[in-house]
Amino acid sequence: MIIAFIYAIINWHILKNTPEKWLVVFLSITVVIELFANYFKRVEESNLLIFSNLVIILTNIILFIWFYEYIKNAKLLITSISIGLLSFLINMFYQNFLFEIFYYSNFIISIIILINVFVYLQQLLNNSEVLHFKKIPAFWISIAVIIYQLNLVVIFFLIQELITIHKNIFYSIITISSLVLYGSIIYGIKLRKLNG
Amino acid sequence: MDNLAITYLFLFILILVIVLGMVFLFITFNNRKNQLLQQQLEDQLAAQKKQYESELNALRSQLNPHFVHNSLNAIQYYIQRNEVEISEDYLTKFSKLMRLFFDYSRTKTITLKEEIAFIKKYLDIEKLRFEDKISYKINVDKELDLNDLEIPTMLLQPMLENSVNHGIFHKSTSGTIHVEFLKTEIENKYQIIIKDDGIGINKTKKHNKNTTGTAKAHSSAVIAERLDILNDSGDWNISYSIHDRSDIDDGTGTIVQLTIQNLSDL
Repeated sequence: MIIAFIYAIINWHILKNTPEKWLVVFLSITVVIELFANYFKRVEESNLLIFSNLVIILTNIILFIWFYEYIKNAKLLITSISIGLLSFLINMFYQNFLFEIFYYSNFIISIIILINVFVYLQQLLNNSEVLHFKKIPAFWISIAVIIYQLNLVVIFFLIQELITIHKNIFYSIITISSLVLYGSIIYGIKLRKLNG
Repeated sequence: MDNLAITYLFLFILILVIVLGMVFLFITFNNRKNQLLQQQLEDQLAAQKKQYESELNALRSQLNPHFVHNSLNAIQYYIQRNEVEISEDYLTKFSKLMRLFFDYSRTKTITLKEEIAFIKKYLDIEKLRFEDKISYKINVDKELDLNDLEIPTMLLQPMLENSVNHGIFHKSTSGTIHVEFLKTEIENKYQIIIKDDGIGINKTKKHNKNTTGTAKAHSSAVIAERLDILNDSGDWNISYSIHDRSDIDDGTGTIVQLTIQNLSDL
């Protein structure tokens, strides 16, 4: 994540006029919040999980906007953000925002993100840009988002109880998924740098 | 089954779903890419064909002014000489020929029968123009199916025009043009030989060098270009050769040999 963030900052002059500028925002928010989270966890030895909830809602909203830059469907953007925020608000009635991860909201947001990815891929498939799809940053990042979100949906929500017993498996999968996601972002930025 | 086994089973299914999903995604995108490439290629070919056709049309129409100019000059000549009957006869034949000329300019192919009738009309006019200094003979192989075999329109007329204007015109005595249509062993393929006893292509080239005339060179270039386009279109296989008869035998004049095969019928 840090490497992806540094790489994105270095290439900001290339990305600032492209949809990938939102990925820089995405990475910046993630890094800042993760730094706070680590500080509170390691230095203050706090059990605060507000940072995870903030990362979930903020980064996914950024991803919705990033997808909107490609899909250009305002209705989908508004619906996605609305459902995301609404699910978050509803979740507040059932879980503690400060000390619990909003699983249900996260689940719904993951599903919406996956819908955005499929809409984007569907559009790409019907567009002449499909001729050079391997050179499109969004294509690779979308694939990584699918892998990441599928893992999240399955591991966090479907087999959460099973997997928490085996922490090492849990962390291995999360690490691999994160590597795929941030690796694809680096690759996407590199493609943008090469192909403009 | 214990928890660990169930966990691994779930993870295995998850990885399998992801891998299969990715494979499916890439296959779908690759198929779509190939489909679009194929479509683009077809569009490109169609555009190229359209371009060929427009170039051919342009070349066909390029031949008209040359011929019209010469014919009108000849009619003017008879009128000036007050030879009313000849000029009327000339004008009638010319108008009939022009009608055919414009009709055929709009079509890509005509039958050999139509082509032979057309070149007869053309050579008749040239005979009138040169006051019988020119004679012509057309021999057709009896085995040729003139109603079935086709030829690109306006293909022979510029070659005959070259024979007349650059072969026999510069000759002091009268000249003859022989046109032969011969069957080949290959079905759908026939040969055409245009032979004149004019001054020959070598002398014509010398003559053109000495004068400023480039009409012959231009006309030959137009013929060559048109034949190239016809061959490139894939509808025709036409071989063309032009020789001075003195290079081949003891005769004088020019010999043009064409073998024509209509590939669109195959």
